[in-house]
Amino acid sequence: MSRNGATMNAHPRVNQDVLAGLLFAAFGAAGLWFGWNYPLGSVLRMGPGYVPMALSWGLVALGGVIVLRGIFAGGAGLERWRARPLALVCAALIAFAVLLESTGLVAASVALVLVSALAGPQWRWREAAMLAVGLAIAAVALFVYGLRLPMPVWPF
Amino acid sequence: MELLENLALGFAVALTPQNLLFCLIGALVGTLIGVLPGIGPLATLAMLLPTTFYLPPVAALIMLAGIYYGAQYGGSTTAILVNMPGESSSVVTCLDGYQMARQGRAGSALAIAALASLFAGTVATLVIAVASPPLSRLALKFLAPEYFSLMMLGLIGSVVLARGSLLKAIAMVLLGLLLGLVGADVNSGWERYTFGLATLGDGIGFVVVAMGLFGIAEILINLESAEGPPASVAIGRLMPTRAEMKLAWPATLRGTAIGSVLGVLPGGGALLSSFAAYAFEKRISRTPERFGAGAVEGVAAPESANNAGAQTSFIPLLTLGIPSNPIMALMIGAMMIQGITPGPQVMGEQPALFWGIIASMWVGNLMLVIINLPMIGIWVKLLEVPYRLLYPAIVLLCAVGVYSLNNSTQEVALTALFGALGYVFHKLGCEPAPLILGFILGPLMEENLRRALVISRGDPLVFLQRPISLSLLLVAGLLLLLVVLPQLRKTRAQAFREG
Repeated sequence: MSRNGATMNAHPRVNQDVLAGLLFAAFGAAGLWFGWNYPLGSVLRMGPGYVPMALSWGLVALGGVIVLRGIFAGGAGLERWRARPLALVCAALIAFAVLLESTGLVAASVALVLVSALAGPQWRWREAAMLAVGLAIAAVALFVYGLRLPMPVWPF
Repeated sequence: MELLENLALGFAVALTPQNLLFCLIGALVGTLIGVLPGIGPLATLAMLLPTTFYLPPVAALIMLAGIYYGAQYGGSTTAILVNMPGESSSVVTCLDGYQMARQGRAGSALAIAALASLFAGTVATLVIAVASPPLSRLALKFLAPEYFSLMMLGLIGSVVLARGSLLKAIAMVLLGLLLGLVGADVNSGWERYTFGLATLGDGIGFVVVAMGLFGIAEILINLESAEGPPASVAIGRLMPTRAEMKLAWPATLRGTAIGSVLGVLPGGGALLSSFAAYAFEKRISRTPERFGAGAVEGVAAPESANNAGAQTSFIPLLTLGIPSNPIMALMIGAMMIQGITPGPQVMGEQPALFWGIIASMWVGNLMLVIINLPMIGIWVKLLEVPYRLLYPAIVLLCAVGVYSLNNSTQEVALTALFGALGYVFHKLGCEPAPLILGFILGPLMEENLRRALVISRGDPLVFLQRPISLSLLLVAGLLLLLVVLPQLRKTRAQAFREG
């Protein structure tokens, strides 16, 4: 199994390893930045900052090593990124989060299904609308009446 | 004869009508998601976790376990019939299973897969029943240093067994550990990385991370490849020929052995077992050129191995309370919802629960053979549901599932964030499994590290002075060494490539 058919890139200095290393280092740097004033304590009595600081430094260091290795030893090239499904599926979840408690499960489900259906390769209005209505009904029947989960159904 | 008594108790629990029903539901749901490609057992378990709150503990765990091993069966069905692995652990079954189907031997491939799985499931059930009591007794002696070293071994195991770059896998573990520490510190109450958000006070929800990194990210990846209707093939006669049986038997035995061992390893489970069993069969075969062209062993070995591995991965969970893979972590979540603290004490305090789950695994395996073989046509029909109709439903299930855990819309939004992160990780060649293990073990490891150092008055050598702790760390070091040594690294890459 080769990993999803990654090909070598024409610009070997920007490859999977370089970006992954930068990402890890960025997480480590964020850990250091936000945890800077957490009390460290001592080895015997560790404060809340001891382990997070150690892990953050580790991430920064290891991220750096991965970047260097990516630059000098090369790594798998980048594949094409598709922004459309990524943006739309995330938007669908956020729309659901925003709408659920104010307008209820039906409206939130319809919004989620319509927006996430837009992310697919073959988008058809009629089909998406029918799917949205069908799934909203199913969600209310299953979760509100079947499993009795407490959530509003309608805006009123 | 203690073993027989225990198993008798287990079957008495597993064969009550209620538990049989939930075992059947689990097996059916598992087969269903195994057949459907866009949705894996992890996301399904995460989604169903909230509903188990309303069930009695035994029924809840029996159902969840059924989903896990049911998915192994369902996944192999689509692998054989349409060359599409429903589950990642069925990837290798595609190689020879689909070739057999193209030669008109789909029926015997399916039957061999099902019977090999049933045999492996039976053996694995016995392995669990025999191995668990002594391990539990040993684990009752564990103190903080041993627990810390055990978890260290688990993390190293997940790093070693992850596919791809070793350094990136270690970085994923560190990131997971750090994410696991978000929330109020247990000892001081100090809020770490919460950014004033109420929902982060108790830490990032496990379901949020798992659903984002596995469920949502998987949908995003699937949406990239254009969908085409899978070409289905005729099933043909179900009974394998005598010649096929003769080839399948020894391969099943070897696959079961490999799966039973690899399943117990931290980071192991169904996926690794199937790859390893296939690579092993190919290596010892006198006619390796038949592999990839419809070799019976290439179906029997990985199918028995993934089922055995799926089941023996319950051993560390049931005896030590330590998850060996993300699915087992979800099972811990399910036990905690029921008010059971997983660990070596469960077997002694709740024997009915413990042995009931084990016995139900065997019952479930038997049910799966019955569900899968005669009803195969129904499952194949399901494949005709186009993905463009399926994935919005899955996204909706994820959203409602996350919300229902804590009635928090912030967590739904956070799931979107982890979904995006999972997509980025995929594009950068970083496997998410080590991260999720680090995430679960983060707070536990910090707690046990602190306790161990208090016991030893601040002497970090405590981990090397206690014999059990020392041997666990030695095993971890050995594992790491095996991967770092360049010669062995090459064979590791080769083993995965052959898969």
